[in-house]
Amino acid sequence: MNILIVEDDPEMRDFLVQGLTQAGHKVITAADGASGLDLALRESFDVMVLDRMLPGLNGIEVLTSLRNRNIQRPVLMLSALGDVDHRVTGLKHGADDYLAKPFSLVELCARLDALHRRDVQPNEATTLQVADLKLDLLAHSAQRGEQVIELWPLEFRLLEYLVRNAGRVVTRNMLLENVWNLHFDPQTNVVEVHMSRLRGKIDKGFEARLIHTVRGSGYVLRAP
Amino acid sequence: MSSGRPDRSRNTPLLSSRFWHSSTVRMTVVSWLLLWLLNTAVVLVLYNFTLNTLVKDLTGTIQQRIEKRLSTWPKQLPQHAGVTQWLYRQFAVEIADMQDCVALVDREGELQLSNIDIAKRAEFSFRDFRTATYTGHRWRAENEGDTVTCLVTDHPLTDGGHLFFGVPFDGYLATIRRLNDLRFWGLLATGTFSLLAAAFISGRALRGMRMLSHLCDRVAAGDLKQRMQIHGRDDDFDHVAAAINHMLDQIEQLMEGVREVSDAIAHDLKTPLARLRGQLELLLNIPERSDEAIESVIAESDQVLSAFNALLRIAQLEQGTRRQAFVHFDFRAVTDHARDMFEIVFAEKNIQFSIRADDDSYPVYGDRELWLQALSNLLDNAYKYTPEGGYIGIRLERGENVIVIEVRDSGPGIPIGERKNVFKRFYRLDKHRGTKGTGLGLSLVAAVCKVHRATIALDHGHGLVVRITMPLDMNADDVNDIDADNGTGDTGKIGYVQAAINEVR
Repeated sequence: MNILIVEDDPEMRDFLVQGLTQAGHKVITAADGASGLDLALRESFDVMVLDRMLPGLNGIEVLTSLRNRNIQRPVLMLSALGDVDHRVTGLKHGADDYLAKPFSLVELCARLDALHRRDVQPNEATTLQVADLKLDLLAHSAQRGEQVIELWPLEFRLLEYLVRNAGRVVTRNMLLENVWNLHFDPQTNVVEVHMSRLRGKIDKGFEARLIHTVRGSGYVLRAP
Repeated sequence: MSSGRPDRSRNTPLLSSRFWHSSTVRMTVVSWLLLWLLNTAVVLVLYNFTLNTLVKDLTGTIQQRIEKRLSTWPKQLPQHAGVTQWLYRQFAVEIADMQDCVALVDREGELQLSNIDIAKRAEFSFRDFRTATYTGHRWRAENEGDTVTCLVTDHPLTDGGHLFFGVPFDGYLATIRRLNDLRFWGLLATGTFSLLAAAFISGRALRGMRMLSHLCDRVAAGDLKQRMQIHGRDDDFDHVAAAINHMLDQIEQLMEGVREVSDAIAHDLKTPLARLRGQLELLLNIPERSDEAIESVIAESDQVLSAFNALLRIAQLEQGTRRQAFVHFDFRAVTDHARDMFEIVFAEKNIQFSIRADDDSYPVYGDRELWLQALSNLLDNAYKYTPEGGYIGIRLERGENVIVIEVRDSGPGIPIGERKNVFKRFYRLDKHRGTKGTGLGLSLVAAVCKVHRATIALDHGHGLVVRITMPLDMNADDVNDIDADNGTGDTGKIGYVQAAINEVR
């Protein structure tokens, strides 16, 4: 994946370059808004990591110019301003995701992966399949092999999100945001409890486990 | 800090230039001048009125005397030439015994006959009247040499001469002199009095101002214990002093709060940071990398971050900038969302969970996500302190103009003495210091309530009862529509959760 990073803080930029390169991505960088915009217009990239506060043109302005020139590549906005209002402003100006500093590299990678996947595979399919797990998005039904699995709506939403991101790590925060529509941490182990119940339904009694816990970062659903 | 400006706390001489720059003094001087002018005007009007009445009275007397005298004369005075001559003859006979003042002047201005000295004008003149003085008084021998003042009027005669006729005026003149004196002393007295009063009032105001500025200096220098003196006179000075004292109380309380928070930061944020540092140091000494150790370091730093985020969020809420996200909605949307998250979690711990909402709708105006977070915090608290097999319940009630939200649990509750404190930032009951948490949960709930003008109270039932009372949304026409949109989804979720509960049992 080609990632364009626009970040003015050199240490943060190095951290991003190092982390994302190690994760196997190709990275190009800019240190201010104007050169970031310039690079975005000249070079091709898959996703963009855009800092909100930049010298010269700020992140929102860069984003607005990009969208005005009809460049629709996914943009993840980074900011030290983590509050809901700022996130809403960012999303309103065309950002596809918003991540508050400080964040973990795993979180960033997982989100960039999800953005890229959404960009290249639009949600047009009506069925999804990973190994012997099949989801019918119209009937809201799931089956594993020949066995039909009874799921309640919330469990189905959770499973659908995992399947759509099959093979990639999804973090606790991503689940909270996308499945529960929560933008704060409810402290209590809400995600863990729901995951363990879902697991009981999907993996219990089957030889190959599909849902795996990634310690300290989240979950991944992948074919054995 | 004080080096760059004059030290205001020193006593200032009353007549220094700053005295005149004081707005209080300027105002007092102006009002004094106005007062004095008004006094003067009143005195002068009274004076003129009295004098006018007096003189009118007197001229009436003179007129009567003349008429009486004229009536003893022939009806037909010679019309043209010779009036003066004729009068001369009339007066020449009796002038020696006359009590009235008379002077007859012919056409050429020659004094023909007189018992007064009209050339020597007395000090008093008023409008058309003038006074003249007797000299060589002939009709009362014992007063020879004395002077008596008359008030005379001038009657022009048809042949060009003048008859000056009048009455003795001494008695009246004394009265007028007294009046004049009265006018002078009156003006002086009111002037002096109002000047003294002005000086007294502005002196008090100045003293008040000086005390205030002195107090401000002391407070600015960090002495928050200083207060304005209240004299108990219930005047505006006392009111200002009371207002300032109230403000200082508030500031002191805020400062106290800041101090508590910084103490708490020292304890609750420094402790995990210190642990973090210790763990990192340990990591340095471990020969091979340990994922577990690194993960625990990351978890520790996340704990610090989440405390910071909560603090920032509370601070932002307290600034009241979040009202832009306010919408009209039914509070059940929040409780249903919370049920989605927590019901299964509670079931894992065998905690019985129920939501009671008997009314048709609970329209409120506010930020849905903030309420969800507040309710999550309350449920999270309840979950932490409710023992296995316990009970947690939410009850919605619609009052006259309010909506009451109650969260009850069967935990140990909070002792009455501690109830006020739990809303303070970082405050944690001592026995719970070991439990995971930032100590900011209830502070955030309190801040959310404040933004929504809701009140929060703690009570004791079987465990803790948290009762939030928030205003009912009066413009709630469209709430039911919104509700209808979400309706199907919500019922679905409730059904799902209910089924899940049954499954667990």
